[in-house]
Amino acid sequence: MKKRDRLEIINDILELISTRSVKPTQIMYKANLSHDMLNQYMNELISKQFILENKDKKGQRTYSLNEKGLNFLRDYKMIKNFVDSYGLNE
Amino acid sequence: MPALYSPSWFTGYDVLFELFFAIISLAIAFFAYKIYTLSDQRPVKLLSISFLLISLSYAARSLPFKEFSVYAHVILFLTGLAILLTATLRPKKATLCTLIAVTLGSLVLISNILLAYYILSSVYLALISWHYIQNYLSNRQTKTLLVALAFIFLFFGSFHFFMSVNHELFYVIGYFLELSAYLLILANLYLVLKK
Repeated sequence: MKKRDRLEIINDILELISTRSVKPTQIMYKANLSHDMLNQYMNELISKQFILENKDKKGQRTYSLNEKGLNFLRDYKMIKNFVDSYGLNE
Repeated sequence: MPALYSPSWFTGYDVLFELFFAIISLAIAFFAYKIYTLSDQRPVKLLSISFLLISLSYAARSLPFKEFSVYAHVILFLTGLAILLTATLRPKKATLCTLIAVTLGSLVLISNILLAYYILSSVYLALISWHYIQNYLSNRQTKTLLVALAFIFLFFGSFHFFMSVNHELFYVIGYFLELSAYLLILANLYLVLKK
């Protein structure tokens, strides 16, 4: 099975969050990420303003999509094609 | 004063070629910047900057101020290639510092700046082409093939300019190889934009 690159992982996470607010554990299992990787990606996505971190009444963290995240999902195919053709995958 | 080895009958046509290369490079720079604003990926930002500098280098070469335009082209083009090298190969800091030192050293120490430029750009383009060949081998798609071929053409184009020291015709061949390269880059952009 081909290893996912960074853009594919970001796309997987954003797709999970795109329909509803999601808890970190759900993202971890559904996006098939380790705890460390999840934290690393979520911190990056928050700092780049792709997603928003919210807290419910119980103090449980959930994540929802920002406008920048929505734009990424909308144009993902074009971004991926461009990044792949110039070998810019991180 | 740096000497250009251009045949007299080609004067004027070379300006048209350079303006065409400048427009294509600028289009790639703008598109890469758009991709950067969407994806926030640092290598894409570097690619955008490198193509912007390459575009400016061609625009500078097409200017009628002979000496200024040659020096501006050399500095802008080599800086653009160095940034592209950083975006694609991601060398370690020490390797990058060595590369910059060798580039600056060569430009200062070799009396014929154009000769130094052709050697350095050939080396840079060989390294970048190698990256794109590997990129194609690990991801066999038309898009990756077009970019790999484009940079191979740019490498051979640069090599022909270097050879033009001995024969003027190589200078013209160099332009046609560069033209093929930019047409391939344009074709790749079309494929990327195609939904």
